[in-house]
Amino acid sequence: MVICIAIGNALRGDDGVARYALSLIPSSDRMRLMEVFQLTPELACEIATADVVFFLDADASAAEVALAPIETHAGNGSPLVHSMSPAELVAVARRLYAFAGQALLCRIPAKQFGFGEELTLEAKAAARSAASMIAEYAAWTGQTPEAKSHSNSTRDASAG
Amino acid sequence: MSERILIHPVTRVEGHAKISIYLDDSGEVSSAQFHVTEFRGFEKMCEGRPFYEMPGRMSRICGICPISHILASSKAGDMLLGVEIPRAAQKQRRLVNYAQVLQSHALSFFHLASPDFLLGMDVDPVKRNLFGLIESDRDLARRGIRLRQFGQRVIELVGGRRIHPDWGTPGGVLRSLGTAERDEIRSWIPEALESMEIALGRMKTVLDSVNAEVEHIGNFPTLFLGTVTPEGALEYYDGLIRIVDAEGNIVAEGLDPCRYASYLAEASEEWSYMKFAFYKPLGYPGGAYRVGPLARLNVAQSAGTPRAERELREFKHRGRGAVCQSFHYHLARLIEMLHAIERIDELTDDPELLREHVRAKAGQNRNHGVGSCEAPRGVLFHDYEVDDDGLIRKVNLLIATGQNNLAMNRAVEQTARHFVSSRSLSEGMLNRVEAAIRCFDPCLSCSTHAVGHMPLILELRDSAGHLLDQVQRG
Repeated sequence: MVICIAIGNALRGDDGVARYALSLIPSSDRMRLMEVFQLTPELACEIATADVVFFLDADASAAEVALAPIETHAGNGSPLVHSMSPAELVAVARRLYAFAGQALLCRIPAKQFGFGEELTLEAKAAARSAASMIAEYAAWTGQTPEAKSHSNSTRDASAG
Repeated sequence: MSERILIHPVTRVEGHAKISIYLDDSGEVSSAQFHVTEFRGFEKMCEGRPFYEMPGRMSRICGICPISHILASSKAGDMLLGVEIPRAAQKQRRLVNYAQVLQSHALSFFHLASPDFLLGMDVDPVKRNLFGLIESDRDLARRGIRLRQFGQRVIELVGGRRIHPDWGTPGGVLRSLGTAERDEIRSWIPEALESMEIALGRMKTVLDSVNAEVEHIGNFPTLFLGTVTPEGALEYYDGLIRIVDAEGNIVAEGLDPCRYASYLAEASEEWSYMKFAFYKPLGYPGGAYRVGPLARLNVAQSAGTPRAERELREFKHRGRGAVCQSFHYHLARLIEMLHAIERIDELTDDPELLREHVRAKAGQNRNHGVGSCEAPRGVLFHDYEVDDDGLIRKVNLLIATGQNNLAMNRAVEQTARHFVSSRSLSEGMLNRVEAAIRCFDPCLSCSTHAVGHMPLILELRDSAGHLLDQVQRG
């Protein structure tokens, strides 16, 4: 099972870019797509059985779409408020529910966060890129080890 | 020369905040202030909008208690229409309100407050959080998350989504509830009741070990205000306002929530964006009152459900008259969670809940509407004036956290007097001052109608305003 969680508020301009990206990801039986305004503790048990969890979030500091593993941290001295960061949520899922899957954060460049549902053209383009990156990665993780090995060698050959 | 300690921003509360502690010339705490430094102006933004948009618009004030705003707003809309809503709609609204009390209190108790007293006030903050709780008591942490999940799931099943559901409307609700959804809700109840009995047992044991905190963190006389049934039992959706004093005497009862402005008023201070509500007959600041779980249990004579009734009777023995220790907000929260689960059980056992007629339709019949309900943190009022075209002319929101503002300031000052005793801030004293605020579980984004994440700063200053020490969290 692959879970994609888009974080953000669609009424605050590019803050809704993750939700838009989510809408571009092809759905499948092994893919669960979720939209949230903020991450809350109960999501920890929902992601616990996933093989891969993608968190998609708008990022004003990102220059390009970036997909990176989440470094979980627990007990960092930052007490919990009503919402959690992806790293904290994954840490709770690992500690409390033995979540053993991969967790990745997809940072999508975003520029303006004013009132309104419109995304900037740059954010829309970044969302398309993020959606295809996640779809490709999710498809790759769903392959058998043999198929992964084959697709890796194919990639190597085409790169060569 | 007197001095001032500053804590900026308060952690594990929702919003931005700063605490200033002032020392006198002898180095003793002379006063303390809890400042809320963020402003949003939500009331102003609503002017000119149609009143029937308000439930959806108002739910955006908060991601934790959107249901309370939807309910108060919908009830104000009911009054503007001049309708009595269908019984199934009323039961849905009650059901979702109990679910919200459950999920909000679960978040407050298990994830924000319990690390303080289950792990210890002086434990390293690196460990005194949810992760520390997981290490210390995995089962309790897991049960806390499940309780929160249950509340959120009820909201999702009834309202369509967990946060900001598009469901409440003037005249009722937008959709009926199906049998499958009702049955799923009922399937959660046995586990939820078991979890609450375990949590209550654990909490009552722990209370014996935090006696100093119970007695010195926000233990003072005030009025208590909450909604009750005509018979004086706990009520969260539609009742009458009762006010009791610290001795438990009824000061006022049978007050119409729609006439709140005749007995409640708000004052402003230049050092905070959050207003200070008070009971008019006693003036400002003498008319300080507390709302929320502690107040509700103090004003109610009975719970109306068997398990919560047993706990309420035991709870009332913790005070002489009213229970005045703010630390007991936490225990009160657990009792309310138990009560909410019992009420969810009752409501989902009622076939009327599933009826399809859930909305009364009418045109606008009034120009003024007030809606109120008991939100997790206390009674909430939405007051709308509209023109003849149904457009909002004026909005006033009286939020639970604002009504606790005088008491929160008093709690901070009392706690600082007892636990702050030097020119620098230790972790233990800092956390106790913060814990005074966390008793109230303030939602500062609601009370200032603010947005975003709020950190906390604690400042220690002398009387001339010189900063002696500062700690920031979040």
